[in-house]
Order: sequence, then structure tokens, then C-alpha cells
Amino acid sequence: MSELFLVYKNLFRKKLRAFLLSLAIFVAFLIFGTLVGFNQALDLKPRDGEAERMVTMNKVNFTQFIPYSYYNRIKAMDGVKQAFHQTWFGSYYREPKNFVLGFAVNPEEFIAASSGRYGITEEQATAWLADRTGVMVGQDLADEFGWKLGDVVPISSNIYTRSDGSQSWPMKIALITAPTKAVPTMKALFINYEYLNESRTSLKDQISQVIFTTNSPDLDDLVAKKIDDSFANSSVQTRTTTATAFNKSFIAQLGNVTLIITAVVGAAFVSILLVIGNTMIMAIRERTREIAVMKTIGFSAQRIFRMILMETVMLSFVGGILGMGIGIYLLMFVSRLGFIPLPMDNIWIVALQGVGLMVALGLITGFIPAYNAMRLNIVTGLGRD
Amino acid sequence: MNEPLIKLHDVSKRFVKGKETITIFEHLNLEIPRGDFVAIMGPSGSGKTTLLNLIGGIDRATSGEITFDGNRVDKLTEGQLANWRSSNVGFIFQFYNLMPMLNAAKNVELPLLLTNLSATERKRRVETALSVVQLPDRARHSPSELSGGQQQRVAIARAIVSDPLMLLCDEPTGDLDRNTADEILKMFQLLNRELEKTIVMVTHDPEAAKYARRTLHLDKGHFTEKVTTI
Ligand SMILES: Nc1ncnc2c1ncn2[C@@H]1O[C@H](COP(=O)(O)OP(=O)(O)OP(=O)(O)O)[C@@H](O)[C@H]1O
Ligand SMILES: [Mg+2]
Repeated sequence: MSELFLVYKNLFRKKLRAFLLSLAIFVAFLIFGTLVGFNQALDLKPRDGEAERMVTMNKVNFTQFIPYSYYNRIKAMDGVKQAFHQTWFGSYYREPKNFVLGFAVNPEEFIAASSGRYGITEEQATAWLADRTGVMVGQDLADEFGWKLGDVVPISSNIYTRSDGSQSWPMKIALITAPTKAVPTMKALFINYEYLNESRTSLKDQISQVIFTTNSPDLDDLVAKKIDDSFANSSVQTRTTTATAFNKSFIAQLGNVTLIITAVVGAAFVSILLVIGNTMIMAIRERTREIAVMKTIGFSAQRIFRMILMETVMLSFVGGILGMGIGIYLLMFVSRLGFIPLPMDNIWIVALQGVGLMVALGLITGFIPAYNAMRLNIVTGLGRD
Repeated sequence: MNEPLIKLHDVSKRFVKGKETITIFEHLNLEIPRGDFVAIMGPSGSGKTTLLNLIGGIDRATSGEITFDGNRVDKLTEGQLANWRSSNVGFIFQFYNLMPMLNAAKNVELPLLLTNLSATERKRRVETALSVVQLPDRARHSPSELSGGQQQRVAIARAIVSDPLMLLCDEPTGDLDRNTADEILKMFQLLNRELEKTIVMVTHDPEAAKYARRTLHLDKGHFTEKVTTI
């Protein structure tokens, strides 16, 4: 028998109580794993050696458009190093439920800016540029719909209409990108802007965003301000932010889910803290006599204190590890579906935070009962025999 | 060489409750030689349990000196006292006070968690202690599966497992029938005679007291002595 065994026996002496407490902790950490993991994935900063990308969009919100002429003005601005533009296509394949994240871009400029990110080779670039109906798709998307290089497939838009009234564009699969470190799952498609612009009946010469890098990160804020100021008196005003901030605002459009779940997680933790803290105070009080006996036998006050903290930390780990594990697993599953770009390579940070939270939860919920037990007077605790 | 194992010199114990002060003993003196088996009797409230608590170092005297094996116990800090209890004192209570979630063997092993003994040595000691109390076949039983007498034997095994010099028993047979009580008392006699444990036993039962070498009557803070002739 070790001290840990004794702690374990104490924790599980009332099976139902231990189970219910673990369940509460499980749920809290399930939510924690999913939500905090989600936030972590959204907060992806550019990798070492990669400049942070800046995004200029309509000030109203990112679904609104800006005139194409803005692109030329931004490209010509001091401090702007490299730029490309992208336009929502609102794409789906065959049926609206097969929604695909799709953008219209100028392939040449897009490749110049992003070939590293997507691992586009010379040959692939040439193949795409050779055909204005050409489309670049990610490996995961091609796999999902069974597309092969050279296939011509109809891609529909829920935004634009062609002059013949149809909303479907024939597209040739010109380039399939393999997964890269920067983009491990790629479920988006990129079509040729010229091809779209000449055939759409509405929103001509309108683009969604301009994406660019500056000559130096120090210039980012300055350039952003300069751009937004220069359009301040135009009918369409702009907002320029970093791509990280943009991604976040994009996700936030799913509804203010993040905020709501943050509140839920906070509330969940505060309530389990109270429930567990209270239950442990009562549980230890029920053991007053046993604790007095242990002290009589020679267990020191500090040792008793430590053992009770070990017990609450153990409890916290039992529910916590399981909850967080499943939470993170769920998140990875959602990420693999590919609707939302969720890079998972920093998820271990969340796991570490979770473990820290488990220790903290255990120590906080155990402190009062441990302190009470430590202070317990033996004669009082033994009571009157 | 004739130094008593336990020595109380001029010990006073008072409880303060609000404005009231209850004096249990004043200027109490007591010497218990090594290897003695003393029964302590006296009316309820006379301070028998309190006396045992003072000797066992789980309560502190208001004034006076308490010496064990030549060392001043009353001078020890709480931590030192806990340590001292673990190696020198075995406590036996009226209601056994076993840990309900541990089986008999683990209950007996509990005090050994405070030692550096190896797992095998601990196991050996637990087996020895359980066979001294004649319960080796009940090692895996939990307290709730044992009779009162069996539980008290487990408690005795727990008290002797770390081989203390002294056993302190507070009405150890108070909850047992005559026959079971006699078995337990014979066991104390055995522990006293064969294993040379010094035993101080509080009891209300004159029959139980007969098993001791001598009986001290505590009343109004003073002792009167009667020696049992065996
Ligand atoms: N913690 C305490 N606070 C106040 N008074 C106490 C405390 N402990 C004991 N007393 C008082 O001290 C006196 C002696 O108590 P003690 O328990 O030692 O008696 P006892 O001889 O063991 O009695 P019994 O035979 O009923 O067990 C009693 O009057 C009791 O009320
Ligand atoms: Mg008493």
C-alpha cells in the first residue's frame, strides 16, 4: 500500500459521488478542450520567417464588396510589397448543401504571393495559367468529390448569375495542391477572376478583399491606416487588419458563438468549482473521526493536508483528462471536415493549459477541506468515546 | 535502570469554556514502570480519557512535566510529537476506529506508511501482527465484514505493528460481550507478558481490571491504588 493508494481509496469510497463529480469535471473539460482548442487554432500567427499578411475589406463587413480600382491603388502604395485580390464565389458542387469555400483570384498574382504556402510547383503553375477556366483545388476537396486533374466539372455560385440565367460555371481541374505544413487540410477552391468577371451579370469589377504584405512588420499599422484613410471619403470605405484578426472575424460571423461558449465555459467552471469545493468540504467533514485517528497514529498535519490535495487533484484529473481528450478529438474531427481552417499543430499548448487548469481546480477545491483537516484538533476529532 | 517508562510530574489540566474553567487534575503525579499493565478506573468524567490523551501526546497538559523513557514529551513540537507517537505509542479505542475503505491487512499496514520499511518487510510485519491477534485468515475482509471482537483484534494488530513500547487502551472491551472481552483481555496479558508491552487501560469493568497487574482509581483528580495479585 502506498500513500497514493490510500488517497485513491478515499476518493472512490463513495462510488456514485466520485462518478458524478468526475462527470461534472468531464463536461467542463470537454467544453474547455473544444472551445479553447478552437480559439487556439484561430489564433494562428504567421510562421517564423513569414510576414504577417494584411487584409483590406469593406468597412461594413467582409461579405460586402470593394471596387476593383481599390486594388490598383493599394498595390501602388508606399510600403506595400506584394498584393493579390480575392472575391467570394459562394461555391457549391451540384447541390447547395455541398458548400465549398471558393475564391476568384488572379492566378498569376496569387501564385506569386502564395506558391510557398500551398507548395505550388512551376509545372502546376503553368498548367493553371494555361486555361482561364482552370481551377486550383485542395487535395482533400478533390478526394471528397472524386475529381482528377483535367476533369471538367460544373461549379455553381449562390451569388452570381450568368447572362444565360444559369448559375453554374464549367471548370477544369487544373491544379491539385498537396497538403503542406502551412495548410495541412485544404478544402477550398480558387478560380480565375477574369473568367468570373467577364461572365457574371452583377457586381462587375467588384472584389471582396485585397491581401498584401508590407516591406516590414513595423509598417503594418501605418500602411493599414494610410489605406483606410485614403478611402475614408469615398462611398465605399475600407477596413484593413491582419489576416489573423480577419480569420477571427470570419469565424465570428458564424454567430457570436465564441463569446457565448466562452461565457458557458466560464460559468461551467465556476459552478463545478463551487459544487466540488462544497462536496469535498462535506466529504472531509464526514471523515473527521478518521482524520483524528490518522493523526493519533502519527500522520502529521502537513501530511494530511497534502493527502487531501492529492485527492482533489486526482479527482480533477480523472474527469479532466477524459473530457479534454475527447474535446480535442472532436475538434480535430471538425477540422478534418475542412469548413473552417483550423490548424491543429499548436493544440498541445491547449492540452498543457488544460493540465494546468486541472491542477489548479484540484488545489482550489481541496484547499479549504485540506486546511480544515490540517487544523483539526485530535481530541475534538475523536469525540467522546 | 529503575527509571519509569512513563512519568507525570506535577501535571495540571484545565479546560476553559467561556468564563468557566474546569480543572481536571492539579499537581498530579504518576509513574508507570516499563513492562507494567495498569488498569485505570473511576467515575465518568473523572478524567481517565484525558489522562490517556496526555500520556499519548495527543493532548497537552496545562502545566507540569511528562516524561517518556527519560525524554520530555511535553517539550516536543506538534510535528515531533506526531513522529514520536508513530514509533512509541499504540492506541486502542472502544469503537475500534478502523478505516472503512481499507481491508484488515491494509488497516494494519496504515502506521507503516510512516516508516521507510520496504514493501516486503511491511507485508511480513502485517502478517506477524495479524497472527499475534489470531486473525490471519481475515486479512482481506473489510471492517464491515468483521464482528466487533474481530475488529478490535485488527485494531490491536494496527497498534502493535510498528512495535511500540506502550499501548494505550480506552475502554477496549466496552462494546464487547463477556466472552469476547475476556479473549481480548487475555491478548493484552499476552502482549504484556510475552512481548513486554507497557499497557495503560482505562475501563469501567472491574472484571477487566483484574487482568491488569494493578489498578489505579482516579477520583477528583487523585489516584488510589490497588495491586492485583495474580
Ligand atoms: N475538550 C474539552 N473541553 C472541555 N471540557 C472537556 C474537554 N474534554 C473533556 N472535558 C471534560 O473533562 C472531564 C473529563 O473528561 P474525560 O473524557 O477525561 O472523562 P472520563 O473519565 O474519560 O469519562 P468517561 O468515563 O465518561 O469516558 C469531563 O468533565 C469533560 O466534560
Ligand atoms: Mg473516557
